[in-house]
Amino acid sequence: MAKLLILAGSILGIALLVVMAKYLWPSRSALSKEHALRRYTHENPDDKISQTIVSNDAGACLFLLEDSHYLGLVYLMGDRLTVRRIPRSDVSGALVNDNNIALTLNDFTMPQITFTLDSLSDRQVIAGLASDAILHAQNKEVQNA
Amino acid sequence: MPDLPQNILDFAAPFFIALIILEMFLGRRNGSVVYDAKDTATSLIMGLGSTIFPALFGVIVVGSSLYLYENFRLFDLGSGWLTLIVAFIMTDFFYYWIHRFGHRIRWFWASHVIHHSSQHYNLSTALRQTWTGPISMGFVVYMPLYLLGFHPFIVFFMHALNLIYQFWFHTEAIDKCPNWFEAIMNTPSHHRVHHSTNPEYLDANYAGVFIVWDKLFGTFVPEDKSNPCRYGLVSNLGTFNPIRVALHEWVAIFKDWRHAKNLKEVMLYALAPPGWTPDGSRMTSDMIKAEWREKQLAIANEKKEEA
Repeated sequence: MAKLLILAGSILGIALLVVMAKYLWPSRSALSKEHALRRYTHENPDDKISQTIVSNDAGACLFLLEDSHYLGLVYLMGDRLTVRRIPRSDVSGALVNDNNIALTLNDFTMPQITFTLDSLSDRQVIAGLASDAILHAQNKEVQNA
Repeated sequence: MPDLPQNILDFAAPFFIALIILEMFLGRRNGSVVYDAKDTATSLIMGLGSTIFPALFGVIVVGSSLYLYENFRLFDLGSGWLTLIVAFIMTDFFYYWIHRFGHRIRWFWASHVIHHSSQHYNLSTALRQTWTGPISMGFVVYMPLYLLGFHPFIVFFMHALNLIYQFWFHTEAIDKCPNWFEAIMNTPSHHRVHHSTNPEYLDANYAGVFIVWDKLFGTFVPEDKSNPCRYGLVSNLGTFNPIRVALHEWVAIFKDWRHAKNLKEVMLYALAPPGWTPDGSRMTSDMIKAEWREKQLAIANEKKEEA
């Protein structure tokens, strides 16, 4: 019984603290192209960026690199940023829903990243990454065969 | 059996919550502290889970410790005041080594990484604890204490006290403590360095209570205000999902094992420092520090030539 009370109290405590954090530090974070670029190049100074695509909701930024085997990602995590340089083959698929494209990644700590894009050409580029992934997978099958 | 409460962490929970509320209000007022709701939720859920899941393995931890103590102890040190004081100091000494192994051996890091996975440094980060500690088996490091003759329940109690002490210094709200205190004890300043990903701060300040262990074993790095701490992991997480947070390094180890070419690689993927790969394609903290030192040297040489 005492353990259950402690558990219930802990859950209430967590809820209270999360509400307080939300109230005292309301999230106003947004990712600008310049900020994303600065952070990415700080962590990957040798990469040459050929194209930058920022999600409309300012939550994610994708960099196409001159080394086409890799992609650069900057992703808003609450009020902080997560920067990734991922092999292009780690893009395993894409779910397209109107202007939203959710890229599925072979990354346990970043399994999906969603872009909201008005520009048709940007959407095509992102969807193309998934097609590349599918082609890559098919090539593997061909090679295995 | 010594008459010491074994559930003091349960009773400490309300004080932890009260101190977090205090930190929030004081830190919000002077701008020294930042919380993020999702990050806070993940940290606190990890904290709650850390009191539940490892308890499932409690029989193994308690059983093996008591077995060693009952059958192989060299002395019977009892539970007098002197024994309790020595046990507190010795537990902190062994905690230093558990913690150091937790950063230098990937099998232990797979559990400990959770505590470092927040990009924030506040009191909620203190509660972001592992769910898989017993799988890493860090508890075996305490076993020499049982062989020496310290009753396991004394060690468990001292370990809990150690963890309670460690709660308060996970904050940016306190800058520096008095010099004498900074010299002997672990403080917010020392532990901020420990949580930083700045290359020059990596693998430093492993202490639990007494910072003297770091000074003794060459791992002490003081905080440099001109080099502000950046918190989190070298490769930060892209999820707040507690289950993914809890298991991500274990999943990474299993993925690496699938690509291991021989038994040596299997062993090294688990026992070498985090970041180790056979071809050096990922970076260990030693490699990151070496690269940073090289860059600093190059910058210094450039400046010399200019002068």
